[in-house]
Amino acid sequence: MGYSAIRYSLARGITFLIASLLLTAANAADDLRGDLSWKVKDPHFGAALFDFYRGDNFSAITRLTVAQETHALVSQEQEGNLLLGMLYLASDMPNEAQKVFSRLISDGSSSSIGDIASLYSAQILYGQGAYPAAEQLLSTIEDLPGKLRIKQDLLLANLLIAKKQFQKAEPLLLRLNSDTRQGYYSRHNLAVSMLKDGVSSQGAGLLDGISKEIFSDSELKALQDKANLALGYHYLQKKEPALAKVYFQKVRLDSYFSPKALLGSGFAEAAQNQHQRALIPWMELAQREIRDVETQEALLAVPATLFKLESYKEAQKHYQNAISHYDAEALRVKQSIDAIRAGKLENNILRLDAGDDAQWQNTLKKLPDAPESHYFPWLMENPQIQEAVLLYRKSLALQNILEQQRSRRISTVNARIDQALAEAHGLMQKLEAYIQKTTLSELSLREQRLDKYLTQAKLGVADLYNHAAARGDE
Amino acid sequence: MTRITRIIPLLLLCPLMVAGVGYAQEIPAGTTAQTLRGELLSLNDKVQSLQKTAVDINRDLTLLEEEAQFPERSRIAVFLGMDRLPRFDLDAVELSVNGKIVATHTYTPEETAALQLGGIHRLYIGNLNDGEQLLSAIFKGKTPANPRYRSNAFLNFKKGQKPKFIVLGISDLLQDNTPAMTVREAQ
Repeated sequence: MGYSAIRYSLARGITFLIASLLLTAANAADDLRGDLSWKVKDPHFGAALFDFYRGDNFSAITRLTVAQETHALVSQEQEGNLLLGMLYLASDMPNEAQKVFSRLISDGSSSSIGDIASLYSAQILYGQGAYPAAEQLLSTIEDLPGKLRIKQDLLLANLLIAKKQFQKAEPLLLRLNSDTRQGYYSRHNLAVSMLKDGVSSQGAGLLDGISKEIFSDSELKALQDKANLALGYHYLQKKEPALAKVYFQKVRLDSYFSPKALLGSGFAEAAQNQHQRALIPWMELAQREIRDVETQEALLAVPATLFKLESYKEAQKHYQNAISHYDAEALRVKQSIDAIRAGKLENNILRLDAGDDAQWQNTLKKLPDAPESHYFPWLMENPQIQEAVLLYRKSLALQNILEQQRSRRISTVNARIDQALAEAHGLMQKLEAYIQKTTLSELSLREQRLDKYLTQAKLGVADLYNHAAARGDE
Repeated sequence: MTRITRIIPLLLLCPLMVAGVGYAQEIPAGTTAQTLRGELLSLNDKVQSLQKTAVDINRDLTLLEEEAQFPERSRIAVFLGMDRLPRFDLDAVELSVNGKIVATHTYTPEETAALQLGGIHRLYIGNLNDGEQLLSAIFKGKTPANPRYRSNAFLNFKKGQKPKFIVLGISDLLQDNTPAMTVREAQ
């Protein structure tokens, strides 16, 4: 494999951020929009549906709840409730959605609506980790429209995976949607669960199936990289480095997973005592983005391997290179810690373009490098920080909505708006505190890791001198 | 190999993360990942609750505004629906009541798609006195044969003391790419 010098930029992290922050919510809503074909009898119901289909869930909820309050939903009351539950779900409000679906189930709605509500309710329960309750609800479903039957089977498969009943889950998933994006994701998840649980040959077999596919879809290509990477480390762990290397080399060089693959590739070579060859991926990696932990590891792995190969002068040069990189990086981490402590993350990043996440994405891409933004994409790889930032952005948007509501000047509602604004303010303060403590802890870990690498590099230099002294070199 | 063993379990758990997650400096000693997760869940619940408050306030504001501006006894609302017409590209609709244009709307591709999927657009809300009324609507768009296609429809109706809801529907009943508009009163 030839390693070209592929540089990473902040855009890599921002791309990740876009995908994780906004697409998740948007995909969830898109996914729901295609679930059912509605027959509209009531124009008020149709008007809510219009807003739902054009992606304005907030207006759709308002329209629907106004129609419910004025008893304007004459002939589609139950469907109105079902749509309301779906709208809450699409708006990332599973608690409200669950209340609506539970009412529909317990009120003895028509069997078809009750079944649909049961499925959505079971999905929410599954998401909350309430597996037995989700399973029980699934078992009550008699019939569903075509698209939802697929979701029902998928949920059942996921519940089986959660119960580690892989043998039952696998045929269900393979039968379900073998060549769709969802099908590949499900298979990947099943395989990873199998590997985690020690059902390794089957898990590896499923991942290998994904590895052998030819995809044109960029998302599936990324999934393939992920599968190859998991297989690479799986075989390394099984002490089959030659096989591991094959999978590492399949990971695309410009992939998000490339640093881990390059690192693994070097490990696979080293495990076969091919130290010279191990240097190739590690030297490539050592020139890449220093904020990636794999690059930091490679900076150390290169001189350690050169030492083993008795290229002492080269080893010394690379140890010095690593030391200067670690020193510079430690300084940048410290500057970032100071900036975040001073509240610059909230002021200069999180609060930008309040209420307009699409604009925020564009702004983030153009942000100049500053201590508070320097590690932001890397910090966002922590799921808890990511979720807290998402909640912060949501609270900011709600604050804007409430301000707009106040500007409508209807005095009877003002007290409620003021109270909600105070709640939003308090909530944002709590989220700021949470984001600050978790980001600072991440940076602190980064600092500790760099310190450890720096010590190891200095010890490496000392070893070199000791070795030279023992040999009587100058 | 110790580095590898550190990486592998994390890769399996979450392949996007390599570095181990722990909390050292800024998080009080004894705080576990579970505590942090619990804290985040509680914040998530609070954000959801605030979302619900904003939604409820919006509903009440809309109710109050509509009642003030369009009292029930004089209220009229006109909706527009459209069949799935893959060969027709809706451009705009113009609505007149008693010869006076009361609403015009140019449809975006997203709105047209929403109509094709079964959504109904509330084109107009206003006030009308009791008595006989004439509603007319013109729609414009593109068909394969005519890039400036237009058609219209009328409805004579009586406005009483209750709100009046009228639905305009665009369909191609003859399936000859000449969509036409129907007008009906709804409950």
